[in-house]
Amino acid sequence: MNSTKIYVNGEFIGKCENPDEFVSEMREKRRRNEISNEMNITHYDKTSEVYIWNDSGRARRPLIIVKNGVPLLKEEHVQQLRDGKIDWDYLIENGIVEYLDAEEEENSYISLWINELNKDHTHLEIDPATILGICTGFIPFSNHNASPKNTMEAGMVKQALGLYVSNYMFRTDTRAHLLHHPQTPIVKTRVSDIAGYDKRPSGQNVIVAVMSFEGYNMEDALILNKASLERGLARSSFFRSYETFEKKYPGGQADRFGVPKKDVRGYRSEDSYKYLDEDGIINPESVVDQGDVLIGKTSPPRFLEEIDEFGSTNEKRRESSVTVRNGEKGVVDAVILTETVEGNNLAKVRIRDTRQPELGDKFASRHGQKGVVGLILSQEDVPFTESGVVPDIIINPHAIPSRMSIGQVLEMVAGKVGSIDGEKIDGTPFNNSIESEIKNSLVDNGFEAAGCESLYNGMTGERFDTEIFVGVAYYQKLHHMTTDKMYARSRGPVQVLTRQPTEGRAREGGLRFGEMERDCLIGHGSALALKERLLDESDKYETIVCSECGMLSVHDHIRNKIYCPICGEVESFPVEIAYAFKLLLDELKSLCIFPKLTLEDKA
Amino acid sequence: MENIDQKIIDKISKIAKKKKAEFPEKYIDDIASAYIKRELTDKELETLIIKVKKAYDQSKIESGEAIGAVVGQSIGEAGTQMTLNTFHDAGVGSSFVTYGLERLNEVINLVSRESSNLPSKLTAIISVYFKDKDADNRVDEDFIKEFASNIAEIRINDVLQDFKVDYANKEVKLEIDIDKINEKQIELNDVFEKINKKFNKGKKYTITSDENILILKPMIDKKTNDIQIRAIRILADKVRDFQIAGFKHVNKVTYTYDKNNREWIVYADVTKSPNVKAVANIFRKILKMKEIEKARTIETNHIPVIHWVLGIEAARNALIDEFYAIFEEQAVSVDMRHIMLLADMMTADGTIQPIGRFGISGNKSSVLARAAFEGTGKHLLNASMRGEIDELTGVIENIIIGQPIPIGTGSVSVMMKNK
Repeated sequence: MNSTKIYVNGEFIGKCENPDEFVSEMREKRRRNEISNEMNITHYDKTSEVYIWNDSGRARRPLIIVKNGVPLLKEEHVQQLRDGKIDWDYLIENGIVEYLDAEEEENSYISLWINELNKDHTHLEIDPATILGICTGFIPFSNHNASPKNTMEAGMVKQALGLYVSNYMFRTDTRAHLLHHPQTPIVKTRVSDIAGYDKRPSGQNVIVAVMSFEGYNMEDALILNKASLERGLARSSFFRSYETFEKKYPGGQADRFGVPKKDVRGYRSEDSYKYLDEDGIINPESVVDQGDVLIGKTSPPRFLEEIDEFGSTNEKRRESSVTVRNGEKGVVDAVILTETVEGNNLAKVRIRDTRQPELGDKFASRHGQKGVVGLILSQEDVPFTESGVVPDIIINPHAIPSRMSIGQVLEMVAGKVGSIDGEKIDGTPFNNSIESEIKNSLVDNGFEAAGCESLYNGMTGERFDTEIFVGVAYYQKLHHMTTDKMYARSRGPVQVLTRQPTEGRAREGGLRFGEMERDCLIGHGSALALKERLLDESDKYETIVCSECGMLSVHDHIRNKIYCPICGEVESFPVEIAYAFKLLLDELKSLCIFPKLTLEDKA
Repeated sequence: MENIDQKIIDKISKIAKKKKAEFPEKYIDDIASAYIKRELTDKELETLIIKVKKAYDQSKIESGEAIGAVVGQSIGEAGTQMTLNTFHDAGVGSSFVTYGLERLNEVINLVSRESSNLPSKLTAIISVYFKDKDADNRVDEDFIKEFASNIAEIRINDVLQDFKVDYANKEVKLEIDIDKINEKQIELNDVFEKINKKFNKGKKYTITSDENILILKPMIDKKTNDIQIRAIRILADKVRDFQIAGFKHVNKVTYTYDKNNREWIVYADVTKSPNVKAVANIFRKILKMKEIEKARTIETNHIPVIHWVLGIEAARNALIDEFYAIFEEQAVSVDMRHIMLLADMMTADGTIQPIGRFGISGNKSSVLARAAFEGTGKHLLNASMRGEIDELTGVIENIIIGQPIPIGTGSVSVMMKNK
């Protein structure tokens, strides 16, 4: 009566009277390896539909098949796997493990733990930690964290500086960051092993003290030990590649590399070209600053030039060199000369800039605990422990309780144990046996089980009344750095169309005085301050308005005459308006709307 | 503290008058009680009055103050704190009521406006209170049940036990459920009478009844000499939809017992209400019922209806109450005066206006102000066709052309004496 519709890759192909039997038969066939193991089948009871998928682009994950509450993967299989007698494909071909896509998961009942299995379960996770993805999988003890912190960390791992590729010296990424001394984390997870995190790590193990210190780590700021920085902690390089090629234009003209001559249109100061070699391209290891030319280049004129008195066109080339970006500096790291696909000469220049951590650089642990540098403290002034250990980073205790990132506390204790014992600690989530192990090991080494120690004030030598929690955590330097963001402007370029200041740091733009800021001034009734912001400091424009028709009059500078294009030589008065308003009037006129200004004496 | 000697009050009023202080009554009472409690001397009292006057004058809004911007910010800032959760009363009362931000949006944009003849999106709920609640316990649950069934719209469909469209005999047979009818306190005879009255008009149908069974049969069509199937179908729909009791469109009535005030409250829901007029009619009818306490049965969430039935002042008060309740419920503190200004703006011209494009912002006199808000092209084009003049009296206009705004420091100017 109620037959079930069957869809293959979203396309309706037929109906079926006994869907349950059909679906389980399909699954059995897949497990017996009679049909491809890439097939996934889902039965939706409520809508009486069966979906079969075998196309590309589905995320699938392996699970152990469970029959009658017993997993099909037996101890003997594991032993055989260890001995190398069977491999992963054997498990799939023999229907012990299968891959489910997101849709078939809807039909399954997956157990996280082997001891929780009951007869209703269809699958068992290979490991409880496999419910996590790559980014969340990197977080040690993530099962002890509040879930938003894990989500935040999953986003921040991607922003961490590290060894992003191992062939970086042969690459010309437009922008790239490279951490100088990346370390593998002391506390790691099985997911990070599988993902090869140790081959391309993106952080360093640092000694962290959790205490407030002189107020310089309020609001998630952190205090860095200056000596640690000088030893290379969190030091990184920033690479930016510039490139250009000799473009060929129709008519036989072409761009030319070379030091531009002085008569070239748009010639920069001689100073800008000082690093260029004879071929017009900079030499490696030159120290360059913003505005310095990296690749000297001239282009043919855009329009045909006017004919001079001798009847010949005087070709005046345009300057089109590549310069160092505004606000950036560095050392020329590499110069590459090659050809484009079309066979034009191509030049690439890579600039390198060393970034020692400074005030305002962003750092994060692996538990969503991010913060910026609030103070760089000389080693002498940093508190030290009884054994003379000086922390690299001091974070504020207020960062922990309300965020409930207990994983960080555990990581710090585990890191401490790991660094004392000289071994890596497995911090894979859902592994509950490790905690007591860590504590015991800490006590065995003569520390307090919780990881607290007496600290001495580096400035006075006095012992702090409270025990301070000190541990080793893996910290990441994130790619938000002060040098890339710090900016101010007093005067600067304006847009051609509106004559209002440009936008953005790269264009040396103004800082927007937005709608809500405007509302604030209105709310305070500061009319003149508002006018100053929005007019005088922006696009103030003085013009003359005809007293008869209310349109803008013309001032003929050559004959020093003021007249109205409509009414002729009638009286016109100077008016101060925003250039954007003048533009509005012009645009209205272009739409056949005739705006008129009626002038009145200013009170 | 309640019985302050009239003499003291007179004395304080006299000093206040001498100091040119115009205090509200409450201030004078407060000063009087402080005078008694602290046992102030007359000189101290005088200083107190001077100080209070100073503070009072300072707290007054000065001319040129940008109250609109301040109100906007005060309500807007608090509004960002409000949550969008609509599930916090889920299931209780099972009536369709909106809360919080959603409700604020409804009130501010006046979902279902008076001019609109379109079906209202809003469920209008009229709260009914009763008088003599304590007198002789007349208003008990039975009374409420009866009252509720009197105003709720009941159709044949609601009291059917069985309904058959018999195509063979070409008739419609309905069996009324006696239990349902009793529960709703309707007489079976009344039902039959009403049906007779309605369907016997023009002798189009024959009606036969037997106990609780009623059979309707269309008359034979003279042209075809037969009964058309279509006629039976139309009849079936008509009968099912026939209203036998209550007010039309009142499709749900709920009641609760208010434990604090020990009284019953009846809520009449007008869901899928056709338009404001219909809701207003129901509201009027309810107000005319004699069991009702009129002074308090002016409550409905449908503010345009209040405006229609009770006038603009009532609508203003309803707006204020509504805003206050919304912010109160979300534990967001907004000063009463801010809310009052908002309600005043919405009701200032004698009709209620929403805030947005079709209301206050869209009806500004200045072209530039309207164009700056929404529908720039439309406003500029219309202004050019009508030859509108912008007097540049508002804030936005003056910002656009680059003049000091006529508010605060921009509102003062030098005036020359005519000689």
